[in-house]
Amino acid sequence: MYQANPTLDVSTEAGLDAWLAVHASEMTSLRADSSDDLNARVAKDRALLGYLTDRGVTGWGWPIEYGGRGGTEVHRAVFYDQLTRHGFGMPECAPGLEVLGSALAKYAPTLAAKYLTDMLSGRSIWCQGFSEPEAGSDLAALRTTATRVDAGWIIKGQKVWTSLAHLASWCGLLARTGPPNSRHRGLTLFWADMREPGVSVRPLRTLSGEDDFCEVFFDGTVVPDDHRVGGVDEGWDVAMHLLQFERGMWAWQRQAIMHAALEDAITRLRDPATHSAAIARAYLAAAAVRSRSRSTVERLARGETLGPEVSADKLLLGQAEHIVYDAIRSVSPGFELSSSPNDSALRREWFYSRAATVYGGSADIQRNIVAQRVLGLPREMNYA
Amino acid sequence: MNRILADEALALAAVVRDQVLAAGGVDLLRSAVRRPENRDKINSIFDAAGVWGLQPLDDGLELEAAAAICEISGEFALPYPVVERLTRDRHDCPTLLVPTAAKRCIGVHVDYDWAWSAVDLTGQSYEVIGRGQSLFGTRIAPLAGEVFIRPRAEQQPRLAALGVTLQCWWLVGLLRKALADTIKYSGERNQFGRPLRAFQAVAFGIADMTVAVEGLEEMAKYTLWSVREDDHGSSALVDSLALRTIALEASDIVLRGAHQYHGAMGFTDEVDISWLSLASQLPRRLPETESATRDLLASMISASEFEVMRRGRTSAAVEGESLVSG
Repeated sequence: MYQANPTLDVSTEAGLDAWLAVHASEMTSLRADSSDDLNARVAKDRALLGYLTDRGVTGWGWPIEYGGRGGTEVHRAVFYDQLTRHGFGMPECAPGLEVLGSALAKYAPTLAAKYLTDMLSGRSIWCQGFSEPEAGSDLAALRTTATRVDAGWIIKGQKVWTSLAHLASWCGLLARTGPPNSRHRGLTLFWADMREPGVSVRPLRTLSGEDDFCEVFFDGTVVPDDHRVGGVDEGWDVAMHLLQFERGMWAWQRQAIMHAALEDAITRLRDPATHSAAIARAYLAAAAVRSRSRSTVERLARGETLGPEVSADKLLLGQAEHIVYDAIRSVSPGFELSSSPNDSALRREWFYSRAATVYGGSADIQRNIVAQRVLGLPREMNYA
Repeated sequence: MNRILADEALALAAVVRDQVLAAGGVDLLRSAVRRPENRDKINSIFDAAGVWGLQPLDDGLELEAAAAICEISGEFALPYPVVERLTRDRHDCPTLLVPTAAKRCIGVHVDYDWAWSAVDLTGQSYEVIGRGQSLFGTRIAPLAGEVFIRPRAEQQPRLAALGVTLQCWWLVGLLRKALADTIKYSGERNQFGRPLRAFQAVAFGIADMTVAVEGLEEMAKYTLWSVREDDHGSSALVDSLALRTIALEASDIVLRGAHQYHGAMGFTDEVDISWLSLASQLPRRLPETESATRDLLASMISASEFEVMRRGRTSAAVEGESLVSG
C-alpha cells in the first residue's frame, strides 16, 4: 500500500498542488499529448486516475460510504483545477462522473457504493443517454420506452449525441415508463449495462474530426429493477437534480480548461504587443465564468438546491468559450493547416468550442429560462 | 432582391451548377478529402463549359460570368482552385492570394503542377518558386501545401482586386447556401410542438443572417463594377479589401447562426452544413485574417486621404441595367 507523504495533505489546495509538483516527473507518460486521438486520451486519463487513486489522491469530495474520502464539491473543484494547472487537462470522463455520480449518490446509494470507485479510479467509463433524434431541446418528448417485465425493464429506443458511449460500461439512461403523451411526468432514470445484449453503438464523425459522440440503440435490452435510479416516473426530478451538477461542475471544469489553454497560448505568443488585447478580453471572459462558477460550486457544497438562475452560468460559459477560443486561434499562426500536433489539438478545441452554445441545453433555451423562470416574463404565445 | 448579374453570366453558371449537382454536389468535397484525384472530375465540367476561357479583366460580361461561376463553386465548397484559375496574370498563370511580406505560405490545391503566380493584398506580385510538403493534420490538408514565393518587380493591384473579389463571390455562394439550409432545417425540425422557426428568437436570428448575406451581395456587385472601371486597379483593390472585410463579418454571422439552429446535427459529417463550415475556414483565414485585412484597408484609405472612399458615390449604376456590362 502506497504510503502518502504525511507532510503533503492532498485534501487541501496547497497540499494537492505540492503533491502534483513533487510527482510530476513520474507522471509524464500519463499526460495526454496533443497528437493523441480521443481513444488514446481516454486511455491515458484512465491510467492517470488509477495512478492517483493508488496514492490516495482521488475520492476527495465524494462520500465515504460510496468509496470516496469525504469532503464536498469544493474538493472536487480543487482537484479539477489542479489537474489542469499541472498540464494534465481534464479527464474525459470527468463530466460523466459529476452528472451521473451525483444522481447515483442521491437516488441509488446501493449503485453508488458499488460503482463509484470504478469511475473514480478510471476502471470504468460512463455515458449519459438522454437526447434522442426527436428530443433534443425538448427532452420531455423522448420516446425510448422501458416496459416492466419479471426480469426488470425492457428498453427499446434510440439515443443520440451520447459522448463516450463507444467506451462506456454504464449508461445513465432516461426512458419513458408512462404513457406516450406523459411528457416529463412519465420518465424514469436507469443504470444500464452497455455490454448487455441488445445494445449497439455507432460513433458519429464530427466537424472536429473525431468521433465525439454516438448513436446508441437499445433493442430489447433488459435492465434489472434494482438498477433503477430513483422512483418510477420520477426520472424528471432526478434529471433536474443532476442538472445542477451539469451546470455547476461542468462550467468549473471548462473554466479550468480555458485558463490552461490561455496560459499555453501566452507562452507561444510571438508578438505579445499585437495580441495582448485579444488575450486580455479572453482572460476577462474566462475569469467571469470562474468567478460565477465558484459561487455556484460553493452553493452546491453547502447543500443548496440550484434553480433556474444557473442558466446564467451556462450562458456566460457559452459566450466565454467562443471568445476564448477565437482569441487563441487569432494568436496561433499555424492554426489553419499546420500539421503540428499542437495546432491539430487547437483546431479540435476551436471546433468543439463552437458547440458550447448548443450542447447541454442550447443558449436559446437558457435565455428562455432566464426570461421566464428567473425574471417571470411571459411565455411566448402559442399560435396555431 | 434583383440579381443584377447579366443573364448570360447566370446562364453559364446554371449550366455548370446542374452538372456539379449531378456529379454529387458537396459529396465532391467529401470524396476529394479522401482521394484528391477525385477533384479532376470538377475540372472536366468547368473545362467543357468553357469556364477557363473567360477573361474577367478584359470584358465586363466575362467578369460577371466569373463571379457567377465562383458563386456556384462556393455553394458546394468545391475543392478546386476555381478562383485561382480565373485570376490569371498576363503570363496566363493561375494566381494564388498570399499573405503580405511572407516568404513561405500555404496554398490550397498547389499540388496541381502548374506554373503558379501569386499576389498579396497590397498588389505585390510574386512568382511561385517552389512547393513544399503537402500538409497533414486536417481533413482538408491533403489538398493543401506550402509554397515558396519570390517578389517580382511589378505591382498588380487590379489582379489582386480580382482575386479577392472572386474569393468573396465564392463566399457569397457558400453563405447563401448555409442560409438556405438553415431556413429549410428550421422549418422541418420540430421541438416543443412547433418548427424551430416559429420561435421569434430563431426567426430574428435567421433575419440577421439574411441581412448579412444581402448586404454582402450588394457590396460584391459594386466591387465588380469597381474592378471593371479601374484600369490601374489601386482603387479597386481598396474596394475589394472592403468587400473582404464585410464578407468575413457576414461569414461569422451566417455560420454561427447556421450552427446554432442546426444544433448538434450541424456538427456531424453527414450534413452538408458541417462541410460548408469547415471549407469556409480557408478563404476566411487565408491569405489574411479579418483583423489584418481591416488594418490594411484602413491604412490604404488613410493613405489616399479618404478619396478612395468617395469614388463609389460618383458611379453611374443605372437601375435596371446590368451593373457591369453596358
